Amino acid sequence: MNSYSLNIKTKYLGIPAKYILALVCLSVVISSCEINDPVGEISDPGYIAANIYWDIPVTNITAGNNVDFYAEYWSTDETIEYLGIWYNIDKILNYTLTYPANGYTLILDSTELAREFLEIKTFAHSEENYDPEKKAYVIEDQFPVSYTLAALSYENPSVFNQEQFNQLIPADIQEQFLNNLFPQLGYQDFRNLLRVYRQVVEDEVFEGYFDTIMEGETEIRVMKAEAEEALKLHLRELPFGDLIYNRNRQYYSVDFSQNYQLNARFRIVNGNQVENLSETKVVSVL
Amino acid sequence: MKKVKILVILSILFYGLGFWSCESEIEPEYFTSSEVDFDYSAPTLHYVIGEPIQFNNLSVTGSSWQWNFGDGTTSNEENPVHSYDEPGTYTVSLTVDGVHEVRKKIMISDIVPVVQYTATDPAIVYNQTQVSFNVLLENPEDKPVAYKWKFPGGTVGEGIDENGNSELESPSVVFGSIGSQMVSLVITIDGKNLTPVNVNVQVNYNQPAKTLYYAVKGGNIMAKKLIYDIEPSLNNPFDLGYRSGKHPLTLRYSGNWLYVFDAGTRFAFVNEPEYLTAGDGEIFVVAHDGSRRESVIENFGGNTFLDFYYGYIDEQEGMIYWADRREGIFRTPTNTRNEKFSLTEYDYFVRNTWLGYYGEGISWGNINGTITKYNGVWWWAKHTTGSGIFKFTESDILGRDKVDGDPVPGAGSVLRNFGIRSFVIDEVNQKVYFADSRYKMVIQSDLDGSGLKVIDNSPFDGEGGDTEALFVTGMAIDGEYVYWAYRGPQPPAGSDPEEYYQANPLHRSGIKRIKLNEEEPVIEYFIQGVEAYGIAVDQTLR
Repeated sequence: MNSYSLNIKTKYLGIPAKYILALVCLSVVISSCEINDPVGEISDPGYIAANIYWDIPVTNITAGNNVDFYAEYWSTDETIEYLGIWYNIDKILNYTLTYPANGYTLILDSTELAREFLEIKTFAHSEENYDPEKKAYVIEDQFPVSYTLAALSYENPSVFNQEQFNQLIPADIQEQFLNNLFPQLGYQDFRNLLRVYRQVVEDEVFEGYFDTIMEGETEIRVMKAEAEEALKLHLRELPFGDLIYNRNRQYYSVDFSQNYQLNARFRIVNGNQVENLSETKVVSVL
Repeated sequence: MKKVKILVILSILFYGLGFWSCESEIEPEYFTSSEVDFDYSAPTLHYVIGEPIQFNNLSVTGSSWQWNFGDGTTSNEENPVHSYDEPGTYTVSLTVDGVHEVRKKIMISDIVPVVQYTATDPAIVYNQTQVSFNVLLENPEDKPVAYKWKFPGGTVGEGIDENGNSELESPSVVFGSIGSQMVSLVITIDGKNLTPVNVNVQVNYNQPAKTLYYAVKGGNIMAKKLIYDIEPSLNNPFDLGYRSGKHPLTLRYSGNWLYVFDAGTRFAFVNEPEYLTAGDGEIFVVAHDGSRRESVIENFGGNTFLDFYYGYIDEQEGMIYWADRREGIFRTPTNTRNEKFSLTEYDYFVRNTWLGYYGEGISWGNINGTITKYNGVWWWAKHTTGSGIFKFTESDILGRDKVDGDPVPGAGSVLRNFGIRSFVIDEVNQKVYFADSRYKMVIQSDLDGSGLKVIDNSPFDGEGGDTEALFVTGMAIDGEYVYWAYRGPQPPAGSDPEEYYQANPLHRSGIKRIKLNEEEPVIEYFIQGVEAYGIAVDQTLR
């Protein structure tokens, strides 16, 4: 054994060298990756942020009211420069349109960021907030929600107002409903829509759009290929309400809702000018 | 030495594994450059049109700034202030030095006035409670605002004229009548009308009272307080806000729920095969204050003869009973919700052929009327052929078709000469009030069918024709009066309606009533001018 060899049986501080070597390897691997960097995700070495724990007991709130919250915070430097609630706002839209006769339903929903992450309310730090039992400062307070964020819904109206309907249901969604519905309509559907409930087309012309075929001993009326465009045009002549009217329940089968959701975080900055953000709490506005 | 080599090889594998696992997780991520950034803030939380929004450039470098506010306007200032004219969600972009761009969303709301009111009493009482209205209104540009309030007749308050109009910002009023009071407000800001706001204020009597519910033909379920010593014009109905249904022949009140039995569009005979799929009846419940409506069971697309014609709630048993058109009676627990009716799921509780009356009064296809239970005995009304009220107990139900030798129920039948659409029992005075569709009369009798007295023989609207005349389907008692929903005829063509009604004052549709147990009862209108089917009384003082 020469002087360059590593005696793996050598012990340092009583620990075998092989374990030290393995530990070094492990630490290099763990800390070397910038993407998967568990150490970096826990903290920025060299900076110590204040800690924050918070809770919102009731997460459904009526627009215009205040949201109650509870927060505990502490900082190793024992100075707090800033406390505040911030939130961004998601807008959630849901559209459901149904053709009741065969149950075809178009459901669309979307969530999009409507307003950026903004400061909503700040709070003064006070030594009086200190709770020795919890070994933390405690705030029980509220933050506001604008009444302009009130939820809007339009559900199964008994009277059809085309203007209101168009305001709430975009034209492209109406068009999508119609295009998807068309292949699912049969002779009797077309007859009801275009001849029975309304007289959009002359009977002779209407019947000319269909062929009669025999299935076993049963006569079946099927749409002629060349009639497709004409029938689509006739459908578009109908008030949209005709397509969604539920004759059993006597309402129009449209369900639209617009809601807002707040993604709230508690922001704290300590005396080292290090900021920390709490976990996100989601508040649904009614 | 060998161990060292193994260790070196293991270390290389370990490193390799580490790098591989790191590389494999690399995915493209797009970050807003921290070099170029902005934020924005408004004076209030509301971000309404006209509100000045402060945009702040937070970029650490740059000497020129191009803002695009997403509404067709731009700015080259570093920290511009901008207000929007229309509500919507806009994408704002900031380009620094013509190269670096960052985009953010901003939502601008319309100005929507919010009307609030506070009252000096926990429940608003007519002629007593001061109700103060207040409007939350964002007016960021401080433009001139005009208020136009409209209060219902009888409302008094400072600054309110005799027609209920007020131009005050925050009027304070006392409502002069009971029921749903619609208050409307139109606000004009600098000549532009905002969306009108309507507020429905529920105004109560100054003491608890019973409530009469009624299902308006082609309209909503309504309610009216049963107050005996009040000027009629002061006691207005409450609109519960729910449609009555197609033919809600029966209403029943139990617990805190109003039960509506809707027989659907087709209530009379329908040819085969159409009747097999023409069903569209439903039983639904409405909370006493109109706060909720829930479906109990429906028959959409089913046999129309199996729709829900008449009903009864047995509170002790916790069961809903209903009669179909002509065959029998079904039942389901009162907590049933959102069920679909089918004969495979629901068996008859009793049917025509399961009683000893079959062939002895009841025959095939006898059409049903009101069902009720009194002192543990069922009372089952029939009209058209095989008419009358047939009484039985559960022990009389054979559960199979009657055969020769099966006895007729001991409770017996009454009023066999009358086609009975509906009836109600006056327990205190031991009377029956019934609506007879054969002679089109409302009649009073003793419980045994004797002592007949015609109460009302006004002509009816003719719905159902001669064979299945609907006539009066809703009757109720509140302890003071018996009520019935009367739908009168249209005035003859060419006649002046007012002259006709003056000459025939009892031909107006409405909820009629007479005092119980009066020797010479006088018909009066509790509600005039309304066409209704089912009615029910909530005996609870609320």
